Amino acid sequence: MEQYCDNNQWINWLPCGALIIDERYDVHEWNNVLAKWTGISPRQAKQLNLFQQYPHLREPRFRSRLQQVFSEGNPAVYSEGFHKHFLPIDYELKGKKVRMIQRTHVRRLPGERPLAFITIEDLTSQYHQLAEIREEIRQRKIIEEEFRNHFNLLNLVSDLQTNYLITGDSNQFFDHLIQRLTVYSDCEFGFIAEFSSQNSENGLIVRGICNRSTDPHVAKFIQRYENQDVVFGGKTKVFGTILKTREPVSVENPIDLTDTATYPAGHPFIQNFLGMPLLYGNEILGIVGLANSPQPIPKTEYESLRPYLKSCAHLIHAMHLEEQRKADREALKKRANELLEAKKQAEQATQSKSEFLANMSHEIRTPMTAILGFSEILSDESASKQEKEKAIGTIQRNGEHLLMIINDILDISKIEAGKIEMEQTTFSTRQLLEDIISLMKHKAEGKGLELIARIDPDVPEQLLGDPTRIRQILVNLIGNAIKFTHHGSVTTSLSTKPLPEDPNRFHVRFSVADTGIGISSEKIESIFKPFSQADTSTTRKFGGTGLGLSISQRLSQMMGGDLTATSELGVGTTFVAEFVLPKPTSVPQETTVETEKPKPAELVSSEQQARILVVDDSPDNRRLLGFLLKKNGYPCDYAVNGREAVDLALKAWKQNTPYAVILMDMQMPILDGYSATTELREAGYQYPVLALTAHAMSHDREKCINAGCDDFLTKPIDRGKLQEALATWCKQAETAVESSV
Amino acid sequence: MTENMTIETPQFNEDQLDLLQELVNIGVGRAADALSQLVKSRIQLCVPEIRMLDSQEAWEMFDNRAVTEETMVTQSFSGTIDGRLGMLLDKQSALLLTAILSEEEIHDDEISLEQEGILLEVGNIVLNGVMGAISNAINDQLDYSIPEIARSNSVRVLLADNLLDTPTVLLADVRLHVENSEIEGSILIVFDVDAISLALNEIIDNA
Repeated sequence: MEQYCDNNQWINWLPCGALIIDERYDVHEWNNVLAKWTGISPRQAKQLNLFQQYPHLREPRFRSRLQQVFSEGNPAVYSEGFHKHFLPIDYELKGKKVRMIQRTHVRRLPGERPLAFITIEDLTSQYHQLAEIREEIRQRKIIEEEFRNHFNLLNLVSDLQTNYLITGDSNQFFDHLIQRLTVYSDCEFGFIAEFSSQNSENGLIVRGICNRSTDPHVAKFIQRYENQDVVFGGKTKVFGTILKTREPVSVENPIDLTDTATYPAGHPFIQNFLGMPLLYGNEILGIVGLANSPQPIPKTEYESLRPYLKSCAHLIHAMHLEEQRKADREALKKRANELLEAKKQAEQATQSKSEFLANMSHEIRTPMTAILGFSEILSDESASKQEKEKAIGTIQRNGEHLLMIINDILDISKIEAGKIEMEQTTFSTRQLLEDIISLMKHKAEGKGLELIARIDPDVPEQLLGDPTRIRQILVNLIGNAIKFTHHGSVTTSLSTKPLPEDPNRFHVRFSVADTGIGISSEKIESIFKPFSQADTSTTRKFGGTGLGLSISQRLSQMMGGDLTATSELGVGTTFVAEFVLPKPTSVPQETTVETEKPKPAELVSSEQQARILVVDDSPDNRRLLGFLLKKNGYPCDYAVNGREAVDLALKAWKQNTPYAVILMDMQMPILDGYSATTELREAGYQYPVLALTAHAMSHDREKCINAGCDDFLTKPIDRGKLQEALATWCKQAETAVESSV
Repeated sequence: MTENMTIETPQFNEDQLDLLQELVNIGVGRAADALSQLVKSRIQLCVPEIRMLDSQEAWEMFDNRAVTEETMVTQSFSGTIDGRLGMLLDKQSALLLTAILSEEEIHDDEISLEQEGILLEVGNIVLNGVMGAISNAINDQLDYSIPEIARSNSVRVLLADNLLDTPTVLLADVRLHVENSEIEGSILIVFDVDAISLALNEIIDNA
C-alpha cells in the first residue's frame, strides 16, 4: 500500500474520480477530481470512512459486491443503469442543478493488504445529451407517426377514389374514409353526411358511419339513419351553424339530448363533437362529424384533416355530376331511341311506298297486259267469235279493275296532299244506309251471305255532312267484309249519341261486323297504313288495291272520328267508323241528292228511239260510246269538239228533233265542254247535257254542274252507270220535250 | 495458422466435463442471486449444456453468429490458469435483457450507452460468478481484468489472440429467465486445457 501512498500523484492524473479504500471502507486516497466534485479535500477525505460518509453504500446491492472484490478479487462494475451513482454528487449543468450519473469500477489492488481501487466516471453530460437526442427522436417519431397517418389516409383516399372510379361504389369510399378518420382521431363515432334539400331545407343524407361503441343500442340507432334522409335541428344548431358559416364547430361539453326536436330518442351520448364542413370551392356539400374523443378535438384539427375532407367533397361533387350525366345520358338515349324509331318508321314508310309502287306497278301492269293482249286477239281476223267474246269480257274486267286502282291512288294522293274538302250537305241517315245496303246486297247474295242492317231508333233522321264520303267508307268496309267472309253474315249497325257539350252535334257510329277469316293482332295495326297492306299476298287472293282502309280511315278522321278494327282469327272482324256530325239547323226544303237519285232501270223500248249526241275529241272514245249506245238501241251522232257540238245541238233543236241527251266530254280542243254547255244554256237549250270527264273529284262535278251540265259521268265509262244515266235523262228529255211542246 | 501446423486438441474426459458443468452452474447460480439483488424481479440462470470446441470450430461458430450481431462482455484472468471468458448475447437478446432489467421499453434497435452499462454490469456479475466458482474449486486466487464490452467484429478481434494461443474453448449455453421471458446467451471460456485438467483431476481425486 505504501507504494501507492508514496506515489499518490498518479491518481490525480486520472480524468475521473478515483479513490482507494481498505476492507473497512476507510479512505486511503481521494483524488483532485473527487475533491472538486464533493468539496471534500483529499486531506479531509483520508479521515473519512466511506460507509459513514455515504450510508447508501451499505445497501446489499453495493456492499455485497464490494466485499467480493476484497474476498475473491473479482472486479465489480456499478453501472449507471442500475445504480445511477456511486457517490451522490450534485452540480450545475447548463444552469440546472443535476445529480451526477456515474459508472463505477472497483478492482482489487495487488499487494498484501487488501485495497480496492475505485474509479468513478461522470456520464452526466453524455446522458443529458443522449436524453436530448432521445427526446428529439421521440418528437421526430411523433411527427413521423403523424405524417405516416396522414400519408396513409391520403393513400387510402386515393385508393378509395380509384376504387370508386373503377367500381362506382361510393358507399365503400365513405365507409372506409370515415372509419379511418374516426380511428385516426380516436373518436367513438364518426359520420359523413351530405346536405340534401330534397325533402327539407335542413335535410341530411348520411353517407357513412363509423361506430366504435360496443353498446348494441347505438348500433340499432345508427342502422335507422344510414343512407337515410334525416332532418336536422335547424339553422341555430350545430349543423345549421356549419352550413351557414362554412366553418368547423367544436362542442367541448356533453350535448343536452333532452332537446328531442334536435336529437331523436335513443341518440347516443355525445361527450364532445367536432363538425367540419365538406367544401367544394365555396359550395358546402355536407358535414363530417367526429364525436367522443378522449380529449375534445380542437378546431385546428380541421386544418390537418382538410385534404381528406376536400377529397370527400370532390367525390360527392363527382357523384352529383355522374348522376346528372347519367340522367343526361338517359335522356339522350331516349331521344336517340325516338329518333331511331322515327327513322325506322320513315324507312318503313319509304319501304312501304316502294313496296306499294312495286305492287301498284304490278297491279297496273297486270290488267294492262291483259287488255293489250286480248285487244290483239280482237284485231286478229283468224280468231273465232267465241274467242273474241271471251277477249272482250277479259278486257272489260281488267279495265274496270285498272280504273278502281287509279281512282284509289288519286283519292289517297289527294288525302295525303291535304287537298280534299268535306261537303256539308243535309242527308237522310236512314236513306243513306238503305242505299248502301241495296247497293251491296247483290254482292253479298252472290256469295250466299246475309247482309243485315240495324239502325238505332235514336238516330236523327237527318244529319249534316258528306254523304258521298260516308258512302265511300261504308261501301269499302262492307265490300271488304263480303270479300273476306265465306259463310255467315255481314252486319252493319248505325247508332248516334249527342255530344255532352253540344246536343246539336252527334257522335255517329257505324259498325260493320263480319263472320269472316279475321285478321291477326300483329297485322291489325298495319291494315290502316297507307301504302301498306296486312299481307301483300292478300291482294293476290282477294284483289283490291289495299288502299281502301287507309282512305276510309283518313276520311273518318277528317270527319272528327276514326276508323278502328277488332278481330279474332277465324271468328270475324268488326270495323267501327265514327264521325262527329251536326244536325242541320233548319229542315231543308229539298230532299237530298241521294234520295233523288233514280234507281237503275232497264231501258224501255219507247226510249230506244231517243237520239244521243256524242261529243269527244278522241276517236276511240267516240267509237266506244257509239258502240255501247247502239248496242242499247240508241241512235247517235258525233261531234269532235265543243263548237261542232253546239252547232249540231242547236240545229237539231231548231229542226224540232233535239237530241235526247248530249254526252259532252269536258276537255276538248277549239271549244271545251264547259264553254260549249254554257253556250247551249245561254241559247236557251234545256235538254240534258251529261258531262264526261276523267276528273273524278267532287269539285270537278261542281264545275260541270255550274257550267250547265245536268249530270256527271267519269271516264272511262262504266257501262252500268251510263245505262242508268241515260235511262234517267232520256225520261227527263221526254218531259222537257213535252213541256216545251 | 498454416496448413502444415497440426495442433492436437486436448480433450476433457467425461468426469472433468461433468465437474466443469457443475462449477459453471454453481457460478451462474451465484450470479443469479447477485442480479436479483439489483432488479425487482427474480432472475434464474441455468446452463443446460456445456461442450468443448477446438479453435477451428470456435471460428466457425463466430462466423455463423456474425450475422446476429453479437455483443460480448469479456474479462481476462491470470494466475494458475490463464485465459479469458466472455458472455455472448445476440443483439436482440441484449436489447430485450436490458429492457427487462431496466424496466424500460426498447426505444431503438441500437444498444445505447445506458444499455451498454447494464450489459457490462450483468456480464461482470455472471462472469464473476462462473470464474469465482472455478477459482474457489481449484483453490486459487486469480487476477482479473475489469470487464470490457465488445460488439460484432470487435468480438472476433478480442478473441483472436486467445484463440491463436489457446486452442481450446469451453462453450456453455446459458438461459436467463426473468419474469415471463427467456433469454438465451453463451458463456465462453478460453483457457489452457492442460492446466485446468490438472486442477480438475485434483478435485476429482480428492472427492
